[in-house]
Amino acid sequence: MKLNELNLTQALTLLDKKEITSAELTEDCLKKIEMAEPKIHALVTIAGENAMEQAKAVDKKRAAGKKIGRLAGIPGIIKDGICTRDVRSTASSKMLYNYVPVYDAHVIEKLKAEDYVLVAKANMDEFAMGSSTENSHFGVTRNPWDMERVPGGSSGGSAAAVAADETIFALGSDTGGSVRQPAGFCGVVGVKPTYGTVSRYGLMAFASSLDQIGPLTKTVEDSAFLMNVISGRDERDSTSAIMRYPDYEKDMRKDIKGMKVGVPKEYMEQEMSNDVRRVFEDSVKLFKDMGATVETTSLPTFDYALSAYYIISSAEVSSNLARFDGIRYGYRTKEYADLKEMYKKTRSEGFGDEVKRRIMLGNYVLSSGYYDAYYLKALKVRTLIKNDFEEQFKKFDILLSPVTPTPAFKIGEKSTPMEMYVSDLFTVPVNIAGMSAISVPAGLSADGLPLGIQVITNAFWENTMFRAAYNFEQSAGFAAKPAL
Amino acid sequence: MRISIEEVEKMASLSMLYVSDDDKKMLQSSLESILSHAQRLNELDTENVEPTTYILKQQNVYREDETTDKLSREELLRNAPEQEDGYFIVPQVVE
Amino acid sequence: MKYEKVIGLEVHAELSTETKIFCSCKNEFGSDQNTNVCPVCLSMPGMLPVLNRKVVEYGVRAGIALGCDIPNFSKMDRKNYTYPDLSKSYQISQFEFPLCKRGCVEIDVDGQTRKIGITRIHIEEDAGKLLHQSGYSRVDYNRGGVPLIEIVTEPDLRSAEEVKVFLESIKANLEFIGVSDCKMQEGSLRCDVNISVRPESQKEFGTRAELKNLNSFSAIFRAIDYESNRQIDVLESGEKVMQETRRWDDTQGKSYPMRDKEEAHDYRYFPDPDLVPIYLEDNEIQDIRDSMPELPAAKKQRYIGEFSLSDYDASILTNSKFTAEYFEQCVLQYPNPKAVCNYIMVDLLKMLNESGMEASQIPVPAGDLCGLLKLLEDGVVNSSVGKQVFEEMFKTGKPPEQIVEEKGLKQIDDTDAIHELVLRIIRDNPKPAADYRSGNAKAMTFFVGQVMKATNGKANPKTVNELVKKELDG
Repeated sequence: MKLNELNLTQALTLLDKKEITSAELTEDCLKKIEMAEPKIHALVTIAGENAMEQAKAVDKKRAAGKKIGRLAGIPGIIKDGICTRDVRSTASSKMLYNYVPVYDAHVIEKLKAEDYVLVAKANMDEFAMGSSTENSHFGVTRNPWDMERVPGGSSGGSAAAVAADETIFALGSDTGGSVRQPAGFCGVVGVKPTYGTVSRYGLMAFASSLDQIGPLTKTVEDSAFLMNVISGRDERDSTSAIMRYPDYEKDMRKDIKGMKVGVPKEYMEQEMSNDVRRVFEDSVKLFKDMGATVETTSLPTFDYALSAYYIISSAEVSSNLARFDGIRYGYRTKEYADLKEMYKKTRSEGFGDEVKRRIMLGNYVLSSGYYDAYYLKALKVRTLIKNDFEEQFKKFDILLSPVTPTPAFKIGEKSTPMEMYVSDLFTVPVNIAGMSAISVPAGLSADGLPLGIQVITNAFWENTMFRAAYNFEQSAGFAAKPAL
Repeated sequence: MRISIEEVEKMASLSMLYVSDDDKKMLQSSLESILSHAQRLNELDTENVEPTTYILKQQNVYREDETTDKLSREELLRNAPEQEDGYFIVPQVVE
Repeated sequence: MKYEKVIGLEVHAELSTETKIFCSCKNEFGSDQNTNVCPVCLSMPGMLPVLNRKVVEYGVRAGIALGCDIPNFSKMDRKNYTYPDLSKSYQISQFEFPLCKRGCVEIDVDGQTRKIGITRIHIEEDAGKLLHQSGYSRVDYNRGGVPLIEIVTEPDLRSAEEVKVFLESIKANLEFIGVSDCKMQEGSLRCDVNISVRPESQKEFGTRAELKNLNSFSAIFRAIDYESNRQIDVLESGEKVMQETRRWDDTQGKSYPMRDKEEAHDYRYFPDPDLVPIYLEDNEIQDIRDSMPELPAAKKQRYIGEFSLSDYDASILTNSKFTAEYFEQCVLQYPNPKAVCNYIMVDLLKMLNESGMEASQIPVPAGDLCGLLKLLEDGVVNSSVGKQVFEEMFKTGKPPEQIVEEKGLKQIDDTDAIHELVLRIIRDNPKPAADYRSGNAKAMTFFVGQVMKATNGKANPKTVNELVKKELDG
């Protein structure tokens, strides 16, 4: 087995036992990147030399018996919307094609403190808007399982990189499903943590009230481990939760006998491919076999989450992206007669179509005359959706659903915005309600494409979520890999 | 759910974007379809419902009135498309 | 037809905190361009605001000082518009739930007391500065993120004079509670004027125009005068006044319509999702109330009551925190409030004015003024010499005793010496003496003047007067 195929837990063990070095581990990752990138194009910037230097430095520290971090020498790939100091961070946009931040995101500071090795920045849908990683200025990322298909989005590059073993772990960000959906499409684990548990400082903002950074890993264990590293209060983020943070791995390996599982019928009433339905039903059975009680339940407001999401996220992003004006950083158009022309040309040339569409939509729903009908209404509907979920968690420990209505779709298949938006149907309600969820590989479609299930839990109940996910993962025994 | 071309133009203006005439038509139709879908929200009675303005319950998150370490002006200006003498440069503003 | 002016103000005051409102950059006027900036106030991608606790406290203080209610709940909203000095292309301000509401400031104009309503006070961030060159502009973001309070008044003001008195009262109040240094010339106090006119008998307000770019009290005066006349002309010619924003050009003495006709500003206010609400408990608000220093209005009343000062004198003294503090320090050491007051009002303020200095820069330590007053009381110097000494004190910072010593300014009390002098001067000036003796009582002043001159003003004036009279009469 090549070292890049190790998962985080295995790699840590072998490094600790000194059976492998970080340099060897990193080198194998870089070799895989070299081989896979021409095919899948998951990455925007590869920090090759730098990565080897970092890896060797950690090996030196370890050999000298010095104190090393919890991720010492582990290669990681970071979604390009997360700022990495002195390493280009573009959000896959032309607007930031040359942007090199002078600060690290909070999560990067945390990873660095644990001596991780930055291998590359991952491709994404521009400014995190999209569900396929087709909206990138740097080109489309392909699904390692079938290169005619999308890896999902917006964290498609991160998910593809983990699936293709270009790295040991990756970070993505999830606003309406952008970690879980690509995790599902690529057969890896992806977590959307409870809003507030992972600092947004240094995450280029899409929708401020929905964005959360989450891990993408090869196993559930790995994600729980990473959560322990990246979560925590950050004073530079006012929406960083002030609370005692749990040990996310606590009780993860205990059984789930008696766990109360709800399956919202509204999910099952949606159109979905037969494969999805089959894999999901098999998964439900596994939960029952493990001693959980499974009951059908109802989320009456399920259907409204997508509309509320589009209104709220577009409103917030229209304001968040207004700062891109060619003055302090980023792209500036070459020719202009005056300021206004400079603004408009810079933004029109710097942003892609999907971004522009959502900015305009956002400005529409916030504009006077429409604010009450759209934005305020959406915020009220959000309350109803939140209440709905909270009601469920009075009865259930977790809710279960498929991650997506279909396996990975073909590149270019979704021709209208609405078609694309609908693929977020299953994941979006979780962000709107402020809950937490994890996507775990569950099976393969008839075409051999991975399918995942989504374990949803109440805000701040990640321990329960990880326990359910871990047990399911062990039971399901999903071991397939893309033939890359 | 109809949006006029004027409204598309107004939105483009607020968004500081140029939109070609062809794009205006495409935008008009995609925005109409998205907003039509959003009309569904009116099916829900939100008469006495408070909006979820904030996700977390926390209030009063402050920082103390103290300076901290800072980056140099060089570093902070290094990504500037145009600079002069420590200033950011913009084309003339018509007052 | 007689018209009445109806005026409301939007006053912005920079808060004198150490750091900016949402980041820990220094809040300092006059630094080199872009040296008090950071990724947050430069609005780099991924940056987030965190509210400065002191800003909330200062805002509440300002509200209490101006008689406002302080609601328990308030929050921050985004005000979206594009301009190069606004790095996020939105300003974090307060729209729906401001920090303070429904206040009132009493002003005295021409012997009349008027109540001016304060609609609201809210906290927000300032924008950077644009410096126009030829063909391009330079942007300095040092000022971007500086904390401001915006005070919005009801349209209760009726004249430029009232506006002046009102602004002076705001300045005094904010200075007293130490939340702002209110220096118009440094931009820490700014004022936009909303003005309309209506026929005196009319109840409804006319259409108002907003005037911006008023950088001094005198500019405000001129602008109000010009704009009210302009609007009256418009109405008299049968036209309608446009509701618009107009820019005041002080050199031209005119106002010009300002807003870009293309985009009427739709600020698309919405609650800022990067921040959380402000919730002040009743006891917290009460604690701040209890810790407020004596405010100008109360202090003025106390000066009138306790020190028997006139309304006018008390007004002047309490116009500035610095003069009031100075006065009180002096009175502690030299408990003759009237004497202290006189010297401050007549001599100190005059010299400050002449040297273009502010009350915050009084160069004479309180102890020294008291020293001078004691010297005067003890007759060590007479009053006109006293004024000379004070001038020296102001210019050099030296204490009065030292100046009197160095310049030999002690009052001459030696009656015999003065008597000698008086006799000599009368002898040397027979004509004015004859003049006096033939009935011109005023001629005496000549001799008094000559004696004072001969003694470089140091002779005891009372003694001189007595002796001159005695000798002339005698």
